[in-house]
Order: sequence, then structure tokens, then C-alpha cells
Amino acid sequence: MIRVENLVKKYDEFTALENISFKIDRNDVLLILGPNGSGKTTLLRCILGLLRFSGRITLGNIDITKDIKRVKRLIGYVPQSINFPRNMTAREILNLHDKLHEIEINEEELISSFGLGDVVDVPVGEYSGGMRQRLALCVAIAHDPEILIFDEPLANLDFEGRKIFLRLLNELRKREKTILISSHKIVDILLYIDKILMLSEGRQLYFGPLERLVDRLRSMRFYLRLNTSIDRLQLKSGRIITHNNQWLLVETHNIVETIGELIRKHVDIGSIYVEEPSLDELIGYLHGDNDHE
Amino acid sequence: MVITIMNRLRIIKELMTMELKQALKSRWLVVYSLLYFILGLTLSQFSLMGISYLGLKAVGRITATLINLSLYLIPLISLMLSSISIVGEKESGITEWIFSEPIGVLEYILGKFIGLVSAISIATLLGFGLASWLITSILPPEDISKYLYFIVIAVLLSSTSVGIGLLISVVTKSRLEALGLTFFTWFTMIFIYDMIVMGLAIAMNLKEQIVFFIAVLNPVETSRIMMIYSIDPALVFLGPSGIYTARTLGIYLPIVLTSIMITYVFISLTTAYLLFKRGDKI
Repeated sequence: MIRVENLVKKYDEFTALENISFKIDRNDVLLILGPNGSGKTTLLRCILGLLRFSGRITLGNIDITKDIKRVKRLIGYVPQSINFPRNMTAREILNLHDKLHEIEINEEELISSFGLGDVVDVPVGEYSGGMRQRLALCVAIAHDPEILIFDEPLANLDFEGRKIFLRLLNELRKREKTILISSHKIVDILLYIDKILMLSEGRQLYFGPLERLVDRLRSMRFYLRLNTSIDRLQLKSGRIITHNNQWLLVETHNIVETIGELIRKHVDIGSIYVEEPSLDELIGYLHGDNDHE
Repeated sequence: MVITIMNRLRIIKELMTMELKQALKSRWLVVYSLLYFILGLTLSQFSLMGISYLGLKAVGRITATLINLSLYLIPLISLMLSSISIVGEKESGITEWIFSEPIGVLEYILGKFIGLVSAISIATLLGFGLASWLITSILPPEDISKYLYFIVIAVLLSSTSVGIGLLISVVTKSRLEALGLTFFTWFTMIFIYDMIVMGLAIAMNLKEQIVFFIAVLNPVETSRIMMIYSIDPALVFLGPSGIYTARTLGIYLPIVLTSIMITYVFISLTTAYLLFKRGDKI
């Protein structure tokens, strides 16, 4: 459904995205994970044709640089921080959206389902951030698009908005929509995800099913209880995340090799505990984040 | 092909309507209408009372007095409004929403242009129109047509300025930068350009037709000639260059000058379109 090949986005000398390649099928829910500034939003904007890039992006068999208007008819987009013209009302915005997509919907009913029924004729300049985000959700699904793109959807939503969003996400999954969600947190939407794309500083760290990532990472991190204290230690086969006089936390691709290296360096190991890291910690691992103390 | 064109026209109409609705809701339209109204009414009144140096009870004189002030005011207002429109929407994130809709750059630029020109035209017509309506009660009917001609030129100058303003909006990265470039452009069109033309004419002893050609490259100057032509078809006010032009082009002069203004709009919008299409949309 969506294929991204060797996507590169540069701003003068700064490379925002570097050789990003992935493919998701119809009905997939892709989570794009990464810390702030990792290139998540830039990637989504490239897919929408909002930014120029090198590489190739296709939706179905449509090259987005060739027929961007057709692509936009297939997509519903909710940016991280949405801004509509301040003096337009929600009704006017939806009305314009309907006309541009050549559709006819019951605006009143749709807006009410997002809890905005009472403010439908109020200028959006008077809306709170959460209300604007809800309106953006409303606009994004109004034309029943095949693909939905949500950029940090939970970031600006209030409690009510989060409930509405998660209910919507569930419903969209049931209706077999293809969904792309960017987030720097994963917990709330974990249940709905099929695949993960992880970015860090514009580079692709991982793309694949969620389960594979978790399995791969679980076997890579362990605690060692030490019988003797250590001062300074560096490993070739792994990475020391943190240590004190009694404990050493190590990450490695090969636990046997790492333990062998520790023994060769005369580290007196008392016991070994393989950690089951939280998902946020796993993300931290892929980010190369050392701050686990 | 026909469907594509119809579809584009439909989108342009929707965007134009959005732009116009926003303008009608905002205060600037009322403020500018009032400004034009006061300007038109005050100057007309002074002229009728014989206070101004022109001071004759003829609409041609009143129009002449209005020419210079409107030549300052119209480009300034039109340039300011249009030059911050696209860059302002980029800065506030509105283009992210607009370009996630099935809208192309051409439709966006044209929708903006027509919407802004319509809004400014409404303000001009309301202001000057209301003032002229008041003074026409004491003026002969033939002078009213001159007034209407004057308003048409004002709208034409607005259109040209909006075109240039949109180009400024595309090439700048912030509202502040756009406003800076706007004031520079306005100052050049109003003051500097005249001085350059005069300097060149004297220093290089240019022929009349060349002076005329260089002068009309400035849309403000083109409007000035058109406005003067409406009260002085022989262009005696403009000296040898004006007389030469009036004699050479005769009744075709308004057509030639209007074509120059339209060409300005075309070049500005085409350049804005090409530059915007080439870059990022947000």
C-alpha cells in the first residue's frame, strides 16, 4: 500500500532523513517511533507531498510526485499541532473540506460525535488546543480515506480527546484502514500496532513487526551481580549501561561472548539476571540512550 | 482535460470564497473602507471649497488631487495584505492543513490572488464609492464616469500590487522579512523609481519613447499615466514624453497601459507559482 524507497530529505547542509526505506500493506498500522527531532514529522510530511525530497514514495501504484492530488484524496491527516484560519468556524472548515473532496456528509452529526456539537459555529480561534485537535480528527476522517496519518495524536489531546482517539483508532482498524502514527511514546497505542519504524537523528534504526523487535531486544540486556567491585571497564562485545559496586547492566547481541569477555577481564560474576525491559527502555536502547540510572 | 480545468476552477472558487469570507470577517476591510472614504470625501470637499490649489468645481481636479494620495495608499495596503498572506499561513501552520487537502499550488495562488483582489476592491469601492456618491449630488453626470474610471484604475493597481505582494510572500521566510521587503518595494515604486527615470533621462539624454517605456515598467507610474489620461487625454501634464505618447498611441493608450498592468500580474503570479511549486509547501 505504501512504499518508501531511499527517502532523503535535506535542509541545506542538514540531513533530516537519510535513506529511509520501508513498505506497509493495506490494513497495517505502522507506528513511527523516535525521540523529538528524529525525523518522524518530516517523514509524514514527505509522504503527504508537503516537502520535497529525493527517493521514491508510492501509494498503491501512484507515485506521489506524479499525482499528489489523487494521493491526498486517499489520505486523512492530523498534524501534531493543527492550525486552521482563526476566524473560520468548524462548520465552515468541514464544509470547505467536503467541497474540495466533492462529498456530502452530515457535518452536524460528525462534529457532535467528536464532542464539538456546541461549538460548531464558534470561530476556531477560540478553541483550546485539544478542541482543535479533535476538529482535525473530524476533518481527517470526513472523506473516509483509505490511509490515515496521525502525527503525535495524543500529544495535545485532553482526557476526553484521548478516549475519542483510541475509540476511533479501534474502529478504523476494524474498518481495515492503513494507519501511520508517529509518537515518542508507545504505551497507549501498543495494542493497535502491527509494525514499527524506529528513527533516530533521521536514520532508520528498525523496521518490522512489533513482536520481532521485542524478542530481539529482550535477549540483549542483562544484569550481573558482582562479587568484587570494578572501577573502569569497557567491552568490545557489549555496552555497559550503568554499574555500581554490586551491579553491572550490560547490553549485547551475544550474551555468551560478553560473559566470556568479562571473565577474561577478571570480573568476578556472582549471578546473572536477564532483564525484561519496558518498551520505553527498548526504544532507549535503539536510540543509543545511556540514561537508565 | 476539460474535467481537470473545471475541477481546478472549482477549487479556485472555493479558496477564493474562503479568502474573501475571512477578509469580510476581519476588521481591516472596514478600516480601509473608512480610510478611503475619509480620503475621498475630505479631498473632494476641500477641492470644492476652493481651499486646495486646484480648488475648482470640476471632478477632474478632484480626481487629480486624489491621484497622488491613492497612488501612495493603494499599493501600500495591497502589498502589505498580500505579502504576509502566504508566509503568514506558513508561519502559523495553516498551509499544513491546506496542502493536506487535494489542492494544487496553482489553485492556491490563484485562489489567494482573486480572494485578496476581491476583498481590496470591495474596500476601495465602498470607501471611494461612498465618497463619490456624496459628491456626485453636486457634480455634472459626465464627471461621474471619470470617477468610475478612476476607481477601475485603483482596482487594477490593487491587482498588480497583490500579484507583486504574493511573490514577496513566496520568496520570504517570515512575516517580518515580508514586511521589510514590502516597504522597500513600495518605497522604490513610489519614490526611488521616479528619481532613477529622471536621472537616466537627463544623464543619458533619452528619447521620449524610451523614457515612456522605462516609466511604465513601474505599475504605479502606469496607473498615474492612466489616471491623468482620464482628465487630460493629451497628457500635457506629463510634458514632452506624455505628449509624444498620447500622439503616438492615441485612443489605444488605455489598452496598452492596461495590458502592461495585466502582464505585471501575470509575471508576478507565474513566478510565485513556479517558486512555490519548487520548494516546500510548509
